[in-house]
Amino acid sequence: MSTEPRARRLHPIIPLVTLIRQIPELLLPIVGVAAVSDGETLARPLLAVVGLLALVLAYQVLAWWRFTYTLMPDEMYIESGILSRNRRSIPWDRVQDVEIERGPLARLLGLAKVRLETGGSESDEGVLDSISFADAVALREEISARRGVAPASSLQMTAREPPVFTMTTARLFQAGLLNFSLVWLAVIMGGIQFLERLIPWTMKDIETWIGLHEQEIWGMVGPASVVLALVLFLALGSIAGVVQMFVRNYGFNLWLERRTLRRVRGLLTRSEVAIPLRRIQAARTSAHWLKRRFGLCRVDVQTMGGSSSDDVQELAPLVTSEEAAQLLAIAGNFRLIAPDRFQPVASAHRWYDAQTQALPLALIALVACFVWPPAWWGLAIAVVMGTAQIIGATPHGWRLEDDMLYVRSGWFGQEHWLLPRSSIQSLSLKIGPLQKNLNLATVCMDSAGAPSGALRIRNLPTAEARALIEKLRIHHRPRARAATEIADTVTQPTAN
Amino acid sequence: MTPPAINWTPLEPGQLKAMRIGVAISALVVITFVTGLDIGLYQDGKTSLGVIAAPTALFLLYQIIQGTRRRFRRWGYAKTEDELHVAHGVFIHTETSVAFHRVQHIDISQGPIERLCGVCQLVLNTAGTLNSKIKLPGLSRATAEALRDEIRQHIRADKE
Repeated sequence: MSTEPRARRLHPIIPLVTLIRQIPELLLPIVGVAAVSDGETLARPLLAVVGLLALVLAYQVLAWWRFTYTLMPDEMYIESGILSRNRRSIPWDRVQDVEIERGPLARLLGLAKVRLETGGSESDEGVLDSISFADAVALREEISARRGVAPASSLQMTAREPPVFTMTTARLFQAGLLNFSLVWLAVIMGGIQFLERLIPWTMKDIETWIGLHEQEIWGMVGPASVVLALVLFLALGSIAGVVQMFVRNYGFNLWLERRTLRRVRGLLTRSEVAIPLRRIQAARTSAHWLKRRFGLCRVDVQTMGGSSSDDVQELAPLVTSEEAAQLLAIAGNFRLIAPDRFQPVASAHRWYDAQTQALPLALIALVACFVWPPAWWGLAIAVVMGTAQIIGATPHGWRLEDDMLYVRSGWFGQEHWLLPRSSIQSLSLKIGPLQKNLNLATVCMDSAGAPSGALRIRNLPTAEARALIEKLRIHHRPRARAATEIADTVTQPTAN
Repeated sequence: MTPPAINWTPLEPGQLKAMRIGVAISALVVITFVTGLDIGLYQDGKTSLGVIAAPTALFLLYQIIQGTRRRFRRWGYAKTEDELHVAHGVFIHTETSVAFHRVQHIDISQGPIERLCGVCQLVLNTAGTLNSKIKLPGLSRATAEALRDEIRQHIRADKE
């Protein structure tokens, strides 16, 4: 462990790795070059492609050479830029954590991506992509030493404390089966179609080869084969769900150390994420109807200005309601409330989406039927869609209790949001053209790291919406400290 | 609990002018394109002259004069002791409220058209994500600066 300030570089293989990563982007110019030199000998376009690759590689080598990081006594310098130099200094005081992430390629090459976690909102503030794994571990220990704290757990280390949550293999399997989704079926079908186009022969050719005529195949289709196809579909969807769950969440462990939640997971890409408790803004549990039947759900938290682009972090892919309550208690002051405590929104909400979306579609389809009879399909789709929208709208409700706002929405996939009043950054009341006549309004709550369309209470009676906004307002507190701190959530509003 | 009524302050008349100029510029682009299409179709003998361009021009003229006025009238702001309220929108009317101590930093911006009309825009930045910039256009420079200074006082008092 050297201590003298020496400029270090990323792993020398990085220019090549970056080039390989860039190949999909380079494909277009390559195809362009190939198309332009159409009809000529193969040598010239090949030469052009090689030239292009060499040029990009040279650029990457230059970029690699000009990217250095230096460990200084009080801070870390990251210098980058080929022509215009950019020096960034990250004081050790501000480094809250060091994350190490390893993708499949990185594991193969013995590399690791290091991310210095600071309070900043910029996601790539202190990223070293990538250095050798041994260097990464050493760097983390060095940084920990400089920060004057004991080194944190690493991907290889076993934590001293037992994790607060672990996904066992049985649980992963259960979660995978419940993860069954038609989206996956669509992906599979799309993949098959795509492959069919790539492969020079088609199903028809195969049929011909086997010596069967189409008619004969259709003759064989009976109730049994329909059931078989259905079973096959279900099996494919379930397998896809299980595979996805294992790839994403294999070895899922969640630790709590020094007021920071640390999550390690992944089969191919092993990732480690730190979630400082004080950055947690809101919590969410989600469960589709089947999970709800078994009393299971998934738990996420919303964090402000996190290291990853996604500001909603998964705390547990599948937990029982007791485990969810425990996790939420650890994550903050989050307590789940009984389903019957939710206050419904205006009764018109139940029909609102069906009226504004499915009904116009049905009317269009009905008119189209007269011109073009096959349009009855559109009518059928509209009926199914409208029914789904009515069912989906029914559970929408909210509750304000002990400075916590609860919002429930959706039936097929139900979400419960828990938003502390102190996390609210701004409030909006929205009245659309239809809502105006019905005297309804939508209340939107913005908070740091909120995913789009996350927290809103739709179709409240306007007066009720205004009263709610008035209650949610955090009145000015003289000498109040940084309001984002979870610590001071418990504040009584001063009378206005 | 009935919330207290909000006394909305309208924007400066200069903002209406600025909005009209903005709409007029886009209208000019549209009408140029449509006129070209109209003449082209006329020369092909498919339509008579002005059958597309004339209604479009009328519609755009209506937008410049009346549509802009409607939009302008729906804008408004209100400053209370510790909050700023901003309302806007004809089709979807939105009323946003932000507490001063939630403001991270404040910008005053002025584009070329706004400068011509003597108005500027106040932007309050919060730590939020979906609606992190609360924009209030159509303020006179003096009003914008007074608002900024007052909100800044609150931020400072808060951070201490």
